[in-house]
Amino acid sequence: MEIVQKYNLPKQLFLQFPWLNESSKILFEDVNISEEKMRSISLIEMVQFLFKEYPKLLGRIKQFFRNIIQSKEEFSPPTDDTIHLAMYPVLQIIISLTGNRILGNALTNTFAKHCQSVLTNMSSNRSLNKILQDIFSNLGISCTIDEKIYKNGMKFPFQMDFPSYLKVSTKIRNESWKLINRYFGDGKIYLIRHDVILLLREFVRQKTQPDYKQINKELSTQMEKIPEISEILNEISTLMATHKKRFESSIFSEGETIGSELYPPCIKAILFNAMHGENLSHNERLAIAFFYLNTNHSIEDTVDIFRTSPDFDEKIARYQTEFAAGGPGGKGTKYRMYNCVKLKSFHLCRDDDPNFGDKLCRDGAKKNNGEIVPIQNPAKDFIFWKKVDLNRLHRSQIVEQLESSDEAEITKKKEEDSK
Amino acid sequence: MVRHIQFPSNKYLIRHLITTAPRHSYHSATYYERPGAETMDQKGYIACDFVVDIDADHIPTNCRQNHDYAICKACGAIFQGEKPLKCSECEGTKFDKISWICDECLEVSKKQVFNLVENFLLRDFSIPLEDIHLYFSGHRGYHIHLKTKAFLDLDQDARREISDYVTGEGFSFKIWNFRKIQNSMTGFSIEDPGWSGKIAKELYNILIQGEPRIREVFENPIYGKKLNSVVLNMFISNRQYLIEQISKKSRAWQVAGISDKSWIRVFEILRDRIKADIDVVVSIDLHRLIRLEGSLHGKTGFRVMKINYEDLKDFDPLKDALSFPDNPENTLDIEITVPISPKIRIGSNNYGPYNKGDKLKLPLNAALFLMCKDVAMLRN
Repeated sequence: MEIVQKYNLPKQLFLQFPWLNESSKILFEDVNISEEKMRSISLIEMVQFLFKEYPKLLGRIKQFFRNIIQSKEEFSPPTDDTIHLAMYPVLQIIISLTGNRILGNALTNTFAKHCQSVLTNMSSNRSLNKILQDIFSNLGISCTIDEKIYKNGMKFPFQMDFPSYLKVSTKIRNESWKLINRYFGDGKIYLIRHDVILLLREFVRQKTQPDYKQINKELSTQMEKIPEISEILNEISTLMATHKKRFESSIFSEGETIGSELYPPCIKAILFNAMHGENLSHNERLAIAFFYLNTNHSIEDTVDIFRTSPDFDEKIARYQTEFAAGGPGGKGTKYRMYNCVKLKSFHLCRDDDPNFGDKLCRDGAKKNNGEIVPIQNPAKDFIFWKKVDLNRLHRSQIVEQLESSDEAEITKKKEEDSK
Repeated sequence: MVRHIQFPSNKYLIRHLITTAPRHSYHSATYYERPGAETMDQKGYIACDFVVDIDADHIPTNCRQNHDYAICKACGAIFQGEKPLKCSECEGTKFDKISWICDECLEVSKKQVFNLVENFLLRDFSIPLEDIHLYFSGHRGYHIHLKTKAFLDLDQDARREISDYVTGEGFSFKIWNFRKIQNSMTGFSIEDPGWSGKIAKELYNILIQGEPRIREVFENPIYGKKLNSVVLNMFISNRQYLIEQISKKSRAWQVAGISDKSWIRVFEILRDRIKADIDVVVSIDLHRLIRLEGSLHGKTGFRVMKINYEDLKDFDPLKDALSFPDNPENTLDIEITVPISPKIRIGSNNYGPYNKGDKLKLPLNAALFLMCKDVAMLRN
């Protein structure tokens, strides 16, 4: 296996993982062009150059979009050649051109799961631990190895510094990833190999996130004039039209105020993420399903939320939703909505979020006698007190209207009297 | 309140403070590209210190029952301790509060600082002591600023996670494999890093101190219900067995008759003893305003001051944070304006309790404290 000396990693990995830092250098070497020259050419020239240099690139990109639009979270092989490397920047540009976050999240999901799958398949490789350490090092993350560390009879060879760990573990939103539920000391979290691969998957998800502001209007117009780009965009648009339910969700549209005004901030935030095709965590999926099912929404409405998910499978989503609702026919136990303490521990509470936050969640509800009632459950307490708040607002508006009409009447009367 | 002010240098800040003499002064714990911009969006967020607030107000203390008062706004009835829901005299629901400080609550705050620094920041997070900046808040507690790069770049989720860790929030017994399978109970190892090891160590430390200590801990928990007496007795009779199991690092902690539920209550009580009582809201806020070092706290007149951690043990806020030299000649004439002004130690003298209308000539620091607490006014 050819090792790229400077980075201690096999060349094969740079081809498979184009998101690694310095992967682009392998690409430049393959097309025999200096890094300096490559950096001096414009984005338009680079895209044209790549399509010219790799005639199969167009077909591979089209296949990639066919896959993700049909919710197939995988690349069509091969995924270990220089075309795979060349695809990466072009895919990022195309997603930026479309501005479609559902596609963007499907892309990050595909790269993240591909990474997980490649590394899991290498489990028999004796040097896999070292490879994982080198990948983290390439990404600027400190993760050391000590093969002699055992906890409760299990080997914990990896130690990751806590800021790097928290950067991704908090996005998994599952209590097993909470710092408090980990072996943690001396600033390091002790991890098994399986954990490390899952964390890397989440790093990849973040690293491959497209920059939607990368392409301005002028550049966009020029880019669309490149025949290959135009062809791909047309194909994407045709494919999206055939999968309307996923891309034009009946519940939401871009820019629309999300949900009812009675929805708590945590639910609004999850719905917003769902709308943008983000891969919702296990707990986010459960929270939104439990909330919908406990607020008189139908199974159909609940399943619809997940249609924009990159790994949406109607059969599975329907089965799980029906199960949460008490099974087909409602014979089993209907799950209750998580309470606020639970949501906080899952990092799903958004009480002070600048976009979704709500004073009611932060400060609690105020009864007429001045007593403060804390909000403890988003499905019961929040909705009840939000209604009370809205009613109070409504009443105060009526009072204001009455007062202003009184004032107008008094003024009118005064004017008449003075006459 | 005046906000969004940016000063080119300390000289301008000091001039502003002299000319405006604000009762409270704060600075942002966040670094912005344009700190003077009017809105948060325009400021351009760069990074934020990780700030920990330890305040006796958030920690259950017995002394509060002795020195805090609520006065019914409608009828003037006085209630010692926590504010009642309703006035027992007139059923009024609005109260004026008199929140006081004493050696006991200031000591509780100090203990929590030691707990946080020793058991969490130094041991678990491995933060170098020189990166821990400690301040007396000027009132009932302390602020700790962590300015290392590792903390500056943390997002809100990561900050909540750290706060959850030090406050023991989200500990999952299921994940830690703590369960009773038939007659076999799996516990924790004293060697484990992190919370499982902390729980094992705390339990061991209590058990080796004998029955009276075990009773004291489990019959008077910091929060929540005391441990069931039957369970407590079983616990005491199996004390030696548990000590042996824990000291030989065994996870087999089975005690016949103690259910999973009771074990979980035992651990909850231990958790509340181990955790650091911090104000989580302060630590997770990315746009927090924090008291300015060197300014005076508007509710006490005490200095907000930096303290070397090594000096904390001997630090006496009621003496070392006074704003003016302890000069008995330097006095103020004041009059008490509320029904009750509790006792306070300032320097080495005690003052009070006083009653409404008392006319007093007190040393400057004591008089200033009572006026800042809004219980007295200056006499002409």
